[in-house]
Amino acid sequence: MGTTREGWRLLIVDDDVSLTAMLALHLLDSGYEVTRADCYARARHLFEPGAFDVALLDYRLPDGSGLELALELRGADPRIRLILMSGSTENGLAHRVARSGIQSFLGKPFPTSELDAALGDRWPTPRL
Amino acid sequence: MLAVQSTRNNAVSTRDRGTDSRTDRFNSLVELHASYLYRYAYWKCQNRALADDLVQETFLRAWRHLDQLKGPETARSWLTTIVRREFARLFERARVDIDPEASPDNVAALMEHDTRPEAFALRQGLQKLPEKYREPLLLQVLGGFSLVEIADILGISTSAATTRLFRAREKMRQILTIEQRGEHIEVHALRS
Repeated sequence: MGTTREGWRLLIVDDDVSLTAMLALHLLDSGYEVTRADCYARARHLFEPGAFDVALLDYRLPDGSGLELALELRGADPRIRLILMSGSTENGLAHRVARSGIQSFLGKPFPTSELDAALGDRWPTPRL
Repeated sequence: MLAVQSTRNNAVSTRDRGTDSRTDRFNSLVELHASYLYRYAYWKCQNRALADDLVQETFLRAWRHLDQLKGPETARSWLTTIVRREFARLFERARVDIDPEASPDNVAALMEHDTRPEAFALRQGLQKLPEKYREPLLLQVLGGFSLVEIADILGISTSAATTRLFRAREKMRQILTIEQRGEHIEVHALRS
């Protein structure tokens, strides 16, 4: 077994409650500690430098841009790993995300295996 | 995944000495989709041993009927359809005491012990969704399937799949909001 993510702290920000619930469960089953936020403001409220290892953010949040939030989080905590997800077909979005230095971009809908891959080469043993 | 590994070994050892490319195709299927299939199967039956059996059966059937697979891009959808059929078959054959429409309390009792309160609460919340809404949500979030693929797997129209997903989200939001309120009330009661 390679690198394990057991105990890694992950922040999910998306206003789609059903999506965050199911992703959270998938990640909890895999050993992550998961915190959910349904908007930009809530994520800001929950965020503290060093509190999270990874942030998984939706591009379109009800009160702002997930891309801006990602950059704000990285400004406050340069070691945080960022993953942006979006169902948008906006031209050049993936390229813009890559240029922003965000590690991964996931186009919705995506299988959880893509999320696993974005989180690391190896995935911890599921605790199902 | 041990069960899948053994499935693959069984399947390959009993194969009719097919070509290497057939074996490679099959091994690639296992490697790419085993984890997703196990999670999906687990969601279907809420039982680890049954999920293992379902995935094993699925891969055995996949091996036997590999020629029916149109291309790698349809593999996940094809395997999902096999799991669904196997689940229905298992259910009918063994009269497995798991009812997908069971009440949340019964479903909770069937679930294996989960010591993480958040995971338990989320799982319970998702189980409260009626099967017809939970299924498309599972396919979209676990499998990453498009609306067209979900409609195809479930044998319904794309507009019906869209409606079910919309309602699933709404119901999920309601369930989780009620549960959160419940937790808050409980915490408040404990404090006062």
